[in-house]
Amino acid sequence: MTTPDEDDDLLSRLRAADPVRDLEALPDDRILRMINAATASNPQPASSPARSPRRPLLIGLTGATGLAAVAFAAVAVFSPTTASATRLVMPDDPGLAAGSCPALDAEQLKSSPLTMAFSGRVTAVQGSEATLEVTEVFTGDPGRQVVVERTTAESGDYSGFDLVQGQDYLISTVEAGQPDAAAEIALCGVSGPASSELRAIYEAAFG
Amino acid sequence: MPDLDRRTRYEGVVRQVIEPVRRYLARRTDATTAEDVLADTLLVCWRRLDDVPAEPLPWVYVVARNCLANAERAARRQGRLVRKLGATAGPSTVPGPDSDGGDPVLACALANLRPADAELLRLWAWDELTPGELAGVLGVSENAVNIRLHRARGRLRDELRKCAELAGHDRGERRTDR
Repeated sequence: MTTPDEDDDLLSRLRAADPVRDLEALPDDRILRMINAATASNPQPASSPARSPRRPLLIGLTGATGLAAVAFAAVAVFSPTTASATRLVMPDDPGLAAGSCPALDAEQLKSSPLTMAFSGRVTAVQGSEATLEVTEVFTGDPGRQVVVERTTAESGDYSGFDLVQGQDYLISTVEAGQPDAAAEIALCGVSGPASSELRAIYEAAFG
Repeated sequence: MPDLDRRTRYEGVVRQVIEPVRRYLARRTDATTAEDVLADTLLVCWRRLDDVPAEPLPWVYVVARNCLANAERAARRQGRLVRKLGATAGPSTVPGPDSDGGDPVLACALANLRPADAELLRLWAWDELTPGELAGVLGVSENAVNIRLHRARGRLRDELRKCAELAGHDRGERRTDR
């Protein structure tokens, strides 16, 4: 059992090794310039992805009713701007190794800074890219088709997952950071093969 | 929200988070990348202002972590491309800051820890996040944070002992060699 004093000693030793302990605060005019740059570069901020009711694609329906329903769903779900595939990237450094990922629950999923959440089936794997047909949209606008740039895990303790042709997946994304970069797949159990457990969490979070 | 209110709220958020997030980035990458990633992070905050919670720091840390991972991936891709072209350019990964602060035994101990433990300790000691803030950044409960911190501190103490013994052994060998 350690004492608070021992924890304090450890804290002091770590803080003495802080590589930026002597970093001076930014001057106010520099902060203002950064604020102006951010607000000027994007005068109309993106609204948060709608937590709209789930939008399933009505695959498998037949007959005139089915065709009409599919046509309606296509209009409702896919805007003209999503005619081309949405590009996503599977991070090779998700920040946490697999063994450190917290157990996922609906509340955590709901409060995460996610930009999209959807289910999809892998229809093709070619080289480092996998193509998914989106089957259900929980939030955001992934479009009809998504292309994922797969990366090679550099660590054995990796919280990512393989994309296998014919398999179904539940995928969420986070903001890429740079405006033109592909959105990044949220890992650490947030995205993965469409197990009944993960689907239940998605449905509770977005349903 | 009217434009003026939005701008006022954004400015308040930035002033609240800019120094801790800037330091977070400066501790984990080189100065140029840190500056670029800070600008990316602030841009995301502006674009996602409606999503920024009342206590913004943990949320913004997650955004900064994602932006940094993105920048490092771009640097690695660039390095791979340069190698493919047969050029002899610099390193493919972003160089990290010198983090031993003149305490090589501590640097050795941190390097021997699991990355998740070392990062938790850095967030606790360097970024001075409270257990509640750590819970927000890591997406776990405050109770889980306290348990993990306790274990990580224990592992760090073990590694400090091992590294100190190793350093003493090395010094002894050097004296014998003379």
